[in-house]
Amino acid sequence: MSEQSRQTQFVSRRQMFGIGAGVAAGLGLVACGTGTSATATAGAAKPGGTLTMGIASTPDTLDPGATGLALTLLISMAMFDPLVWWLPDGSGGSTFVPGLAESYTVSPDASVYTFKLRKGVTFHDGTKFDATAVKATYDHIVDPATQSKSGLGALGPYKETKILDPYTVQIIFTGPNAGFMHQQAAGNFGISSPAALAKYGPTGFGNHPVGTGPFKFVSYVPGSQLTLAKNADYTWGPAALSTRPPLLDSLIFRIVTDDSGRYDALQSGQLQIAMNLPPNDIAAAQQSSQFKQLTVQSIGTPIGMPINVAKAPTDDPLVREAIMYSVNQELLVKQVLFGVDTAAHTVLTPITPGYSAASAALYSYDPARADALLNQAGWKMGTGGVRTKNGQQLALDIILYSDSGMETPTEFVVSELNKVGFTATTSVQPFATAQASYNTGAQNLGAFGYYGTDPYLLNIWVNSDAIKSGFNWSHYDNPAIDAMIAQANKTAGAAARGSLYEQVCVTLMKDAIYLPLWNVNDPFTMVNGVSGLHTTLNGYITFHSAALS
Amino acid sequence: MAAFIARRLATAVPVMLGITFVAFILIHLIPGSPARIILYGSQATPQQIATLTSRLGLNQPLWEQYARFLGQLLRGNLGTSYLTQTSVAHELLSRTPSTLILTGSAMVVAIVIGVPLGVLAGARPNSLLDRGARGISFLGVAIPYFFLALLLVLLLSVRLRWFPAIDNGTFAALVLPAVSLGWGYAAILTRLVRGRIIEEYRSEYVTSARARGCGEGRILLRHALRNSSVPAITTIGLQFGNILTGAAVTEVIFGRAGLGSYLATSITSKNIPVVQGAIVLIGLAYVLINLAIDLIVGIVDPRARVA
Repeated sequence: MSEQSRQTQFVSRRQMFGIGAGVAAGLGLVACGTGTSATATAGAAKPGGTLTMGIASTPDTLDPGATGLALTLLISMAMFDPLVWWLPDGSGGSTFVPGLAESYTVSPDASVYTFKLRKGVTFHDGTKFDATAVKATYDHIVDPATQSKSGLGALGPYKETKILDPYTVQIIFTGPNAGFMHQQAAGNFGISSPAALAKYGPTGFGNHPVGTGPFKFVSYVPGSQLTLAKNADYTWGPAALSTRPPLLDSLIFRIVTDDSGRYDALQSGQLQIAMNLPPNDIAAAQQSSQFKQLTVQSIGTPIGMPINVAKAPTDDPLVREAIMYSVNQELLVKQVLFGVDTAAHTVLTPITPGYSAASAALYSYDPARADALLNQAGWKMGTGGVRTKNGQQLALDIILYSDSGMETPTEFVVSELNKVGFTATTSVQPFATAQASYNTGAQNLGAFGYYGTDPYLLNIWVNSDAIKSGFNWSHYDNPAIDAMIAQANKTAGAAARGSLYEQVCVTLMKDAIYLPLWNVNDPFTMVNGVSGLHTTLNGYITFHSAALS
Repeated sequence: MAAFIARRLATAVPVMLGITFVAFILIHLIPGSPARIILYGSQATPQQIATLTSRLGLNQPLWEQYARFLGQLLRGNLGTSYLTQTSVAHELLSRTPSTLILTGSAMVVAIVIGVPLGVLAGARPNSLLDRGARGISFLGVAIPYFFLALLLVLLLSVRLRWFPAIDNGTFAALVLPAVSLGWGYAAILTRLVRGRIIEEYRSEYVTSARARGCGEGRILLRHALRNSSVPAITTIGLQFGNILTGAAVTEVIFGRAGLGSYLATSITSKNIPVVQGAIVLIGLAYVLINLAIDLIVGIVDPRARVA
């Protein structure tokens, strides 16, 4: 997929959402390694200069509320501020930090969010920031004329925004929506100038974005480049990013769709940062002393294969468990993915809230265990290394969708499965066809991967309502899990909610409905002179304190 | 001449109709509902899908949709980009100059290198110059333009830093794409012109011109070259389509915001109105270029006007 979105939405080829993201692709980026605010530091940061970053595709719009592309959210984070930032806390966890709101409270059933707003903030067009801007922003997203793509889905059951006084607003939902704090920080809900929204209209705003962020919109040449300039008045950034105006004079996003073209331009000095280089160029860049790399971990569900519990032979839990023990994800990452991504062992990536280490520890590579389980299930090793039972071969139907980036990894998985006595046939179908096949349950194994900042995303692909027409491609029908996820989404307390989601993860893994393969890491390759970049938890990098030396 | 143009234009009408029909039917050949494709991944509600389907008019009979499509085309309305919600006609036109500059420059490279090389080689067959020219043109035909582009970028941009690797709006940034795109056509022209010149040299009118005491330069330029130019011009015209296809790839490689790269990215993002618009526009360009070639040939070779 062609490559390659954020919010609770699919990962796809690099920037487009879509399930099962392209190999290198565009899952969320998040802080390097342990989840600390990964900062690329080098040399002495000097004020001034122009930083040009090569991006792989054309933004659909510059309006974060309307966009359907992850890329636009990355860009919009430079122009817009959220009400509340969600940032790494420096010790592997995460924390909410005041943005345009100084403080907030959540009703016990997680349906009413009250924000106390910061004073003294102005938009790039000179409009004063206050409660009307918050209301205008959220009302704009639900306005049908806006044709919001990812924002509308991420917002949840929005009812209204109520202005209590010029600096106090309530965002009210028709039902519980405990994931909202993660969602509002994820980029779709950058607060927009009400004057500009009125002036340019619901779709025109996408060509004239006006926020309160560290950089202002200057010009955009579709298909070519977006130019932003420093907002010298910006003093309301969070301490973790920078409370001062940006150091750079200008920030340019240059569209170079050709993967090696971005690497060439990085080498020829026309770009200082290149996003999502292909693995072979990353490997080359790692050899070079001229470049360094910032990788941002994905948030959501890792790339993997839903295991259909309704189709033989994977309707047998023993067979599913055998699959879980027979694949060596670490080797897959090393051999097939050039070590850019990391091995996945559960249904959420490690930095996703609700991630359960206990669920990730349930299975490890153990072909002997897989053999034992298959023997126990009555599958005896037959001729040609394929197991049989009652004259039937232990055969799996694998269906992938084209551009999922899963073809080569699947070959690896199949070779692992062959070793323990499975035989498998793989077919690749266009996405719409594959989706129909998945819903009818023609496959034993499919392809999946999902970007989402809140574990409520599990509801999208394990809820029993999503079997016939949604993304429950495991055909997993467990009312207890449906209820537990619904309960979690009405639990405002983070700790209680987290423990509910952890139980969900453990159950899903025990039931072996998903073979996790790898956690996507989004690579940003840059020249050594770039410093001061920060990664955010929802998968972006920020340019608040970026500098060139 | 006017009747000739009118006749050629009349034959273009069914061709254009065919092109518009192919462009139109595209949206219906893609598996799955277009509305779903547009909203793909955004957790669209059934209501969002229904609204979009009716807004796109996809629930009307096919012939009605085609009639509406044609009607809008005639008014210059190519629809709205699924991705950006902006006018496709505007988006395509804003990218056309870049593509015209690139294809034009590639043509110039092809003619400026190909024709003189072919003339010189043809005038002195089997000389050192001829063998050199044949070697160069052999390489030009054998090396695909996208591979040449990558080689040129690696050598002249990445290593030597003489030219930018991606477009920055300057003339220098045009050199590598134009050369890599034009080189293969230069090679074709070289071979063609060389072969024709050798043939013309064997013909009786050249012998008689020599007998009249005509200078070699005059024989070459006034007689042999002029008579060789008809197939050369026809070839250049026929190659236009290939150059346009090549421009798409070249634009992607060099990060140029032109028609070709726009079409390429629109295909991958299933941005159907853009693909439709581009097909119609490129089809129209083909028809016009072929007409122009016919006219030029008519000017150079009066015999063609009658035909």
